[in-house]
Parts: sequence; structure tokens; C-alpha cells
Amino acid sequence: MTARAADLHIEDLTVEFSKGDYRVRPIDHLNVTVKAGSLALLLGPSGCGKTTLLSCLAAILKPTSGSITYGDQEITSLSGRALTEHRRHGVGVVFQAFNLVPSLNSVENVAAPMRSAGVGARAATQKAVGLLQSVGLDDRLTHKPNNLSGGQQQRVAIARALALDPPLMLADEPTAHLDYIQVEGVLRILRSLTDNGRVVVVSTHDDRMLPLADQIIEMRPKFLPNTDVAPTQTTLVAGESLFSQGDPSDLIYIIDSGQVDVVRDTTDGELLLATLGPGDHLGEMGPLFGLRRSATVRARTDSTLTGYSVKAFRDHVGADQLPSLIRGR
Amino acid sequence: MLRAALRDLQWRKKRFVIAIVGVALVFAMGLIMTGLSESFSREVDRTLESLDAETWAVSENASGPFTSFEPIAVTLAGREPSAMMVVRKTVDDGGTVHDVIALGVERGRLGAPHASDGADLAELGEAVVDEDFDVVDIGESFELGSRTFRVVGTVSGQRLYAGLPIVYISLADAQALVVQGQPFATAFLYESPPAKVPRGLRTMSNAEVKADVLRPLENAMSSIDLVRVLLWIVAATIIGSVLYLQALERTRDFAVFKATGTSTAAIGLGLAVQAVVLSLAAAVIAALLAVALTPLFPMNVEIPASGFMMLPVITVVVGLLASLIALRKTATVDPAVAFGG
Repeated sequence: MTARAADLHIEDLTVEFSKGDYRVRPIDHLNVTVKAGSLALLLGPSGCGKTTLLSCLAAILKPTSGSITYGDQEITSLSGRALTEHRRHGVGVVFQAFNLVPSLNSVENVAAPMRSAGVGARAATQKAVGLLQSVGLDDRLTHKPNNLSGGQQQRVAIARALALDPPLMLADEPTAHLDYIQVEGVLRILRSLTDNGRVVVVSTHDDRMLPLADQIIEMRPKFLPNTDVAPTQTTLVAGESLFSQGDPSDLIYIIDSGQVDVVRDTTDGELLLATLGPGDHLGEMGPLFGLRRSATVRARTDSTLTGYSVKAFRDHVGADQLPSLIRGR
Repeated sequence: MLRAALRDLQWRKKRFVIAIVGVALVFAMGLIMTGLSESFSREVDRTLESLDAETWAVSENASGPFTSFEPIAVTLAGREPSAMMVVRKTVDDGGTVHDVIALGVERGRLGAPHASDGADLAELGEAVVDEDFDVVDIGESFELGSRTFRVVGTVSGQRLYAGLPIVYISLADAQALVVQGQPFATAFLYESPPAKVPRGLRTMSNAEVKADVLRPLENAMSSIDLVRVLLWIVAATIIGSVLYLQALERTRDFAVFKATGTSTAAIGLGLAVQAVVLSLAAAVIAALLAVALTPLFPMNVEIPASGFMMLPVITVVVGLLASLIALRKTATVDPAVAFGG
């Protein structure tokens, strides 16, 4: 292990931000520990917060609450020079779209972070050449990104992320733009990065990468199993919430009695989307598509609702009615 | 970041070359405007210097020796000063009319021309003309008013009012042309300031005479200055547009730089370097263009050395000011953009 090798602790991390005129909470009270020298895979569909978590780990995004600690350094509390130092020396990032600077050749791209950190030109170039050789690009040192394949660009990006030998390495969808031959080479390199005790966190929605990981961090919201649970009745008093915006989705509801308001939390406060009454259904999109609740449902009057699992709801309304129900609102 | 900035210049060289040529043309026009404005002043300096007077005396009713026609009796000032009569005339050259300023001078005295080519005035009916008076050559004759003059010599660079050539004739010929040969003059020239001048006259220094000559050109000179300022603004707009466009295109580059610990100041410095390189390259081309274009102008364009020396300074200032919007853009780039797909 390197002297800087340490465990990564994510504690009660929540990220909430405004997107357009409404709020989203892609990360909701996340708790994870990644051991030194291990590769953790952030797995989940688009929009589940993988990139948001990487942004927090890279100290690019401040979480709403919670903390991220690497060794004895709390990343989430960094600011000013300490923040810059962390970005330079504490973490290396391999971006999804490679993000190489098109006007710089491979060596210059890898040397750029070192030059910004004050490393001399000769030393930076020498180290860049060494890193590129280590990822198998001996013959592509002076090529510009537009003359490199996707896999070669990804390897240059990995070499750049390693330029200042960071103890924490992040990779955002590193295989997204690669064919299967290129993927093989990149996976081998990613796996080897943990050899000296480095923590590697890789985000992906590609479950073929599972064998690569020492640890899987499931970023999909925790839902109730989509099994045939019996319908359950819920009673709300006026003002009481059935569920809140951003909550994991479980059941689809049909109103038996009373009235409920569907409201969205926006940057300007709550926006009333609809008031629903007996016979109306609500909350179908989340359970059907594995999404979080996109609005809060609150009882306007004392109300009674029946909650259905997806299967039970399908049986209740008839499978052929689902498409029109989805289109309906 | 310096290398990245210079590499980016290479990478987008077509755009930068187009911008440099555009800015160079604008800077060249600015230089030429400076030369035009300067030539108005310099031609007066040269003409007054060749007349060699320390002090002028004109009628109290005259605004100056070249801008008013207020005849004074030659005998009024005695023999100490030399007399001069200034007359605005036209010369018809086979249907083409040429404006000239005829100076009637006392041959061999203060104000008489010293020909740089040919001979000085010696006889009545002779003229020494500025070399820009290209109606006739030395030895040939031309009609001025009702009289015929033979060119015996030429002087160089003696013009007034944005290029009107001086035509030296004898005082007697000038008197014959405009006051039927009466002994009148419009100005007296002194080698040194006189203790006193006769009643009805007032003295003027060369600086006052120059200011009086330039007065009718004030609007033209102010307009040229205004156009010059507009040209700097156009140049700044071109540079600013190119850099801003580039900052927009390089948003992801900047985000990556920031995400990997490069300071905003360092990124801004790279943009500023690009602005300076663009401006200085344009300045060099502008100087060459201005020198090449100057002879094409019908008017004399005298770009001062200070204009060439100040050009890099002005261009760098213009370039840096123009890059401010792009610099502001870089400051607002969110490093999280680097995580986009």
C-alpha cells in the first residue's frame, strides 16, 4: 500500500438541487465504506446519482448534507487552497467522454495537470511519457486525440488521471464509448489501479463490469419487491402526506374517499399540480418505471386510499388499460 | 496553461489567421487615420519652417496671414520686416481645376523660397512651386489668374489645408494679380519679435499662425479622431468575439482544467496570452499594410514613428480589454461540466 492509501467513508450523504424550476434529490442518505485497495462499482440506471456521487468525491459538488472522508481528510469540508490541492493531488478523474484537450497531443494532455501543479516541463513530460507507456501507448505519444481511437483516448485519460499519483481514482462510465475490444484493455488497466492501495470508484450502468468489482454500490432507489403483495388501505387525516417528492416509489394508489393534492416542490415553493378525488389513481409512474416520486401527495381532506403493487394494479385495471393510464396525465 | 493556450492557437489557426487579418486591416486603417491627421499638422510646420519667420504681423481685423485677406500698405511697417501677400487661387489645367495657395514674397528676403530643385525666384513672372503641384514641370508655364508664370524651381512638402500646394511668386506679381499692382501686403514677416508694431497691426507667433491655419480643419481632424476610436472599437469587437466564441467552445476544456486543479486565474491567463498574441500579430501586419497602402492615398499620409511605436501598446490594451468578456466566461465555467457525457 502507498503511504496515502486509506478507506473511503461516505456517511449519510444527501444531494438535492434545483433543476429548472423543480428540485431533485439524486442521492438520499447514502452510507458506504470502500476499503483501501479495492474497486467499487457504482451501478444503476441513468439519473440515479452515479455521476453526482463522483462529482462529490472529486470535490466538484458540495452535498446538501452528510460527509465524505478519505483517510483523515473530510473531502466535503474542503475549500480554497485545500480544495485545489485535493483536486490536483487527492483525486484523479476519468471522464465519460474522455475530455482530452483536442489541441494537445497525448503527452501534453497527460502533462497538463502536472504543469498546473507546478511540476517542471521536463519532469512533467518524462512522467507523462512513462504513464502513457504504462497504458500501452508508446507509439501514440505525439498523436492528438482526433487521431486516436476511443480506447486509446480513454487510456490517455486514465494516464492523465494518474499524472499526480492520486490515492483516489474515479471513472465515470469508462466503457460507454468503447467497443468490446477496447473495453477489454480499459478494464485491465482499471483493475490494476488498485494494486498500490488506491481506491477506485467506477460508475456504470453496464452490469457486464460486475466481475471487475470488489464492491458493488447499488445506486438504484430501494423499492419494495415488485411482487404480488395484497392491496393495502391507508387512511390520511387532512394535511398528512402519503409520500414526498424524491421518495422511493413502491405502490400505486387509488383514492377510495376524500381529496388529495399533488404538489411539486419547486424553487419558488410548492406548485399544486392536481387535486384528485374518489376513483382517481396516482403514483403509477414511479413503481412502473423504477423512478423516485416526482411529486408530494398530501391529503386535502380526511382520505382513504388503497395501495397496489404493480402486478396487483395491472390486475385491478386490466393490462390493456395501463398504456392509456400512463398517457393520461 | 501557456502551452495549452499556444497549442489552441495552432489548433484553431484558420480562425485566428482570419481574425488577425481582419484586426490588422482595422489597425492599419487606424494607423493611416493617424497619418492623415498628422500630415495636416506637419505640412503646416514644414511650410512655416521654410518661411523662417519668428513673428508675423497682420491686420488687426485678420484672423491670421493664411485665413484672412486684409490688405495692409507695404510702407506701414517700414523696411525691417519683409512683406507677403497670401492669395487663394485656382489653376485651370485643361479643364481640371487645381487649388493652390500663392505666396507673393519679396525676392531674396525673409519668406522667399529656397528651391530644392531648379532655381530661386529671380524675375517677375517666375514661380517656385511645391512638388505636389504637378500641372507643369520646371521650365514650363501655367496660367494663374490673368497672368502667366514660368516654373523655375520646386520646393518639397510645402502645403496647407490638407494638401493644397504652395506656389511662390514675387510680391509684385501677387499685387498685380489681386490689387491691380497697388503696394499692399497681407502679412509682414519678422526675423525676431519686433519691439512694437505700427497701429492697426497685431503680431502672431508661429504657433498662433499654425493654430489659425488648422482651425478650418478642426472638424475634419475631430472626425478622423472619432473614426480612429471607432476603429479601435471594431478591432476590440473582432478580438473579443473570437475569444468569446472560443471560450464557449472550450467550456468543457476549461471545466476539465478546473476539475483537475487548474486555477481560474491560470485559465484566464491563457486566454489573455491568446489575446496578446493575436493583437501583436495583427499589429505587425497592420504596420506593414499601412506602409504599403499609404502611397495609394491621394493625400499625403505621414504616419509618425510614435504611431508605430504606440501601436503594439494600444493593440495589447485593446486585446486585453476585448478578452475581458471571455475571461468572465471562463470564471463562470462549472467544473462539473466535465462530467457530462
